[in-house]
Amino acid sequence: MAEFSPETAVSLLAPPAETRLQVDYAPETASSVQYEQRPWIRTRNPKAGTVESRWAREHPELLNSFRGTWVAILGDRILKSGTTVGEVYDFLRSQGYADALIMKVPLDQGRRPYLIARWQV
Amino acid sequence: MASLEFSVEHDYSAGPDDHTAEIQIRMFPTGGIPIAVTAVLDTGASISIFDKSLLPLLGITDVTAGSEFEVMAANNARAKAYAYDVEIEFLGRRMRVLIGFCPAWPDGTPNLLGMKSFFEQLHVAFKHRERLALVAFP
Repeated sequence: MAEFSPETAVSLLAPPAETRLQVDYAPETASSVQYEQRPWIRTRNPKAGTVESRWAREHPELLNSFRGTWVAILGDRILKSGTTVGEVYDFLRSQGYADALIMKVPLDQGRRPYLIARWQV
Repeated sequence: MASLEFSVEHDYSAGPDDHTAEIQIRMFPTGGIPIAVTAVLDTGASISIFDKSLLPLLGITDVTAGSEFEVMAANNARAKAYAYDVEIEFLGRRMRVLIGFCPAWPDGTPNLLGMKSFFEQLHVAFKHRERLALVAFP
């Protein structure tokens, strides 16, 4: 598996073929201090998390040892797991990994229940 | 006849037995490194509700500091929730969305993007047989 750096991470986030964007989403000029200090971070990334979500769906067996924990996935690699989302995020921040998918791995790998919801304000 | 044009087709396919329009959005924690999370396009939700676990990333230490409202789930259970104005990015479009967080709900609750504030800013249509969400940003 390839070594990760912020630069390679961005290259792994190429658009998946199944999403067809018909408008121009060219990144805007970085304007905030946040982006000027970290030029590898895209100002916009319409594909953020899509590759990782698909990878997670297609490789549930690779998530078995992480069930019940929070994980950060970038490309096809689980970068970090932890008991809290803050712990996982602190790692991403310390390493400069932008746009990783953060998710809590369900305890149960079985078929997902149907979601039916109606909330009232 | 009324007609709409959509600028984006987004495939939310997760298999033939999955009937949830789960998409990915980008969020911007106070730590300065953006992340991606999954969320459900939930036209049955009156308002967006997100997992309270994300609150610390947004710099919110006291959930009750938000605007209080009540949510009612499908089992008629009512609970207090607190709304915040949160910046997200959906399909490359930055949006500010009113998102509620419910302290009574467990960690890991699915993030729901609902009608108030979120769908008010978009045109969305579904071709569910093809698992496609058609989106326009008017």
